[in-house]
Amino acid sequence: MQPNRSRLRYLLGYRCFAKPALYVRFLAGFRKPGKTGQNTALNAPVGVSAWKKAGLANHYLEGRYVEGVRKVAWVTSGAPIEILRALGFYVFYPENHGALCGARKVATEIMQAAEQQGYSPALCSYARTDLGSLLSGKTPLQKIPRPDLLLACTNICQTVLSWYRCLAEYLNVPLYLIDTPFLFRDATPDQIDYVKRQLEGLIPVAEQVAGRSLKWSRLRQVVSWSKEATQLWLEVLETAKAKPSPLTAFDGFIHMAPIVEQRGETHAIRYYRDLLKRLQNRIQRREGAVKEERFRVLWDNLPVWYRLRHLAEFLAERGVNVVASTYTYAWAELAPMMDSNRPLETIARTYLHVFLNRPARSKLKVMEKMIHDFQIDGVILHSDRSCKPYSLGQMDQRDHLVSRLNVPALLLEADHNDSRAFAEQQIRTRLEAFVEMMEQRK
Amino acid sequence: MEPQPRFAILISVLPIIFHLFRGSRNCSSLKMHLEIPDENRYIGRKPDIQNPTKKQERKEVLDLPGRWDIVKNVRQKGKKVAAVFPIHYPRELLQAHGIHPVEIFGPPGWPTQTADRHFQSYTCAIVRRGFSFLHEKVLSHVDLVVVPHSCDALQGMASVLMDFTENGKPVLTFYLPRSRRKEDEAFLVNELRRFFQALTPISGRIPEEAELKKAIRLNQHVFGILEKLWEEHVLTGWSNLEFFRLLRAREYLPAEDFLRYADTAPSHFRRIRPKGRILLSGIVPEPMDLLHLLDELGLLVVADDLACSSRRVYRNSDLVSDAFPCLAQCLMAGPPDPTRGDPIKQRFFHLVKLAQKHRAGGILFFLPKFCEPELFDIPLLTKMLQDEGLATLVLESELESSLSQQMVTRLEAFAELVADRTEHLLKFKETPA
Repeated sequence: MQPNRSRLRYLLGYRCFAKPALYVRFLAGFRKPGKTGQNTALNAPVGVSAWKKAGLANHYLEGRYVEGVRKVAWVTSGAPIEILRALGFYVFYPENHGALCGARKVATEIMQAAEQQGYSPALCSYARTDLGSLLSGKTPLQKIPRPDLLLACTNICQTVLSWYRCLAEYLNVPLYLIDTPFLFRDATPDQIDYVKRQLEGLIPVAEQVAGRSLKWSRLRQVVSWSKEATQLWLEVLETAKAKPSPLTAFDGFIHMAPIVEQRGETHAIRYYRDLLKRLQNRIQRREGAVKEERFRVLWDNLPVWYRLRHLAEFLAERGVNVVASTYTYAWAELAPMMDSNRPLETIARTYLHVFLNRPARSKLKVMEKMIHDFQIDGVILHSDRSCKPYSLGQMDQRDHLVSRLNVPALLLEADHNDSRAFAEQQIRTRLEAFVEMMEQRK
Repeated sequence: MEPQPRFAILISVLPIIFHLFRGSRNCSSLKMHLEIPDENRYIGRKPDIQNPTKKQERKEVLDLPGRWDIVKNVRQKGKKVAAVFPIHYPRELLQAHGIHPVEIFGPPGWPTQTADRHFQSYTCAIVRRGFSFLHEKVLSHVDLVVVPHSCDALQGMASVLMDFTENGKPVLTFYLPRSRRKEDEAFLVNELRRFFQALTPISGRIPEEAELKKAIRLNQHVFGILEKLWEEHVLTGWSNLEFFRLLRAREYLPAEDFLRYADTAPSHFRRIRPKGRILLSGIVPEPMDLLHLLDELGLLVVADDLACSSRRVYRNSDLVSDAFPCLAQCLMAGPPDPTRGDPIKQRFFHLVKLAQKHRAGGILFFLPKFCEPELFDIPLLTKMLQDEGLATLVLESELESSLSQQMVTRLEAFAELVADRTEHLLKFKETPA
């Protein structure tokens, strides 16, 4: 009875009512207009069509109705989801949910629920937000679908493993681990083979949960969609090489949602095609994201979700456009590695080489390349208390940028989701000093 | 006859006053503890806080050489030395190459100025103190540095060591898979081979299979001795401090020397009269004042779940297969460990089994601050253990040179709780079914 009721709810509630209503709402422009672009130093951000925006919102909307109709997997942001997509799973990202809570400024309240249960404030704030949401039931999404499978991949950090072990315990669902050895050097055949064998091991587990067999043609299709979306995302980010840049990294943080959540789906491709077209038009019009772009800055590490607009406006008022970010770039740089003809091997290779699974020197090389390509005047390294694999090594990277490349670099201590770690006044003062430093070098 | 209420209150308050008095005494004496860091302290040559003359006696009874005396000795004999960071690594491969491993777990209280130039304040103390110690004291005495990839912090440290510090010494990493499936074991065999080959340019030789097997057998023998030592410790009630000094000597002593000490030293160990029995969990019991305080409080550590100790006892009865698969099987057979991704429930069963076997009344989790693998398990694990009737206490340390007053007070309260439970458990055990 229960599956039938879920299916009925899905068909009537979601398909017949909620989804059309969502599209109507977006197409009719019922959403509140943003403040940006009216009285600030920022031009109105380049958006995508209402249809594409609605497609993104629809992903979360479907999550409210999907339980009992499609199998649900909770996955880490760097996990190879192509196999799950090919098997028809609804894929939910607790990290993105954490970011959403941060952007809506409710993360601190939610993570306190986890802290009350004994989770240390020293732990990752995404994890605390997610566990707090699970324990308290609070979420800006109204409802999060309960998972049938957890998939953790250690290519972004070891924290996700500890976090997902807790989830597995609370939710009593199977946890499958894709363990990716850290690449201090180039990946060896053994390491690639190890990840590939784990992917092979995932297939029967996911098939059993999904109750259907994997079609290889479908997997190849999903991989090719993943590759295309990733390639388009790279092109979107590279539009920021233009002067003035039509895009800020803060816009990029918002627009990265489809590449994370809808990778391997056609919606992500349509979304980025549309965005790319609009950005190219903007370049032709020589219209920048910042009204008076004087300095071009690179952002390293995760964004400060709860101060995204505040930071964008604060910097724009001083003529600073944060044109690029290593974080958004991390989702784009590996596009050429994907090959739909050899899906498992290339998935293994690609996900093993993600930005966070490489050493500090390699990250520095990426930064150096971006400084050159995007004509960067300064670098802000967000020293994120919650993300140790990203942050450890930043002090040496900063020294290297300043002393060897003669690029002003600022280490800004905060947390991506925990607003209690954001010292407002101190950060303002430091950013102002950073801008002055860049001014002196001009 | 019912006791008078006032008399009853007085009786119940007296032990609290007594312990408060003892607490303040402990604290002041603990604070007198060496302010100036000294690497010799690290090996356990700690002055007796209560009685300096007794200290001399104890030092003679447990006359363990210093960590760096061993390094000098080994180097004088023409052998190479490796500085090894926590936690899991193939000691046997180093031994087969004739390289002597000396482990770095801190040391407590070591100034972190050198590390502070490379790592943020939210990095764990094992990394910050270990990194400083390595650069200020160790590097000139060793031939290589081994950094197992135990967590994000150690991974970051290895990256900084390799990429940004010019130390002139090779840095080798080792990755232990985060699960125990067939594919993990197959990867581990390859990882061991890679590590083994990377040692060749340093040692200048390729050891025979027989040498490797000999090293494996020797370590299996050591594991057997460790188990016997634990059994004897639980029966006899040796001082926690002295017993752990011996156990931890394995972090730097050559195996043969360790076996010699393991054979002779226990007969001289002080004994405590245990009021309660506990398990000790965490990474490393530093500062060792902790164990001294446990002695004073009459808490006997009957088993441990420490990364520096029992989590690295890799027993394997099958020593007939080839050396690398055999070693991989050994490493795969270690007890549950949060840094290896073992499920929380597995840890829970392991701890409950240990507690039941040794009739422990509580578990003390002594964790380094910012240690994510450990901290994630704590809320669920402590709740499960408490539901099982075990008292738990979680203390976070930054490897300071001494315990804080707050920790001392909490440990005293915990000791009382555990003493009650242990008494109950022992009575329960004695009651015929």
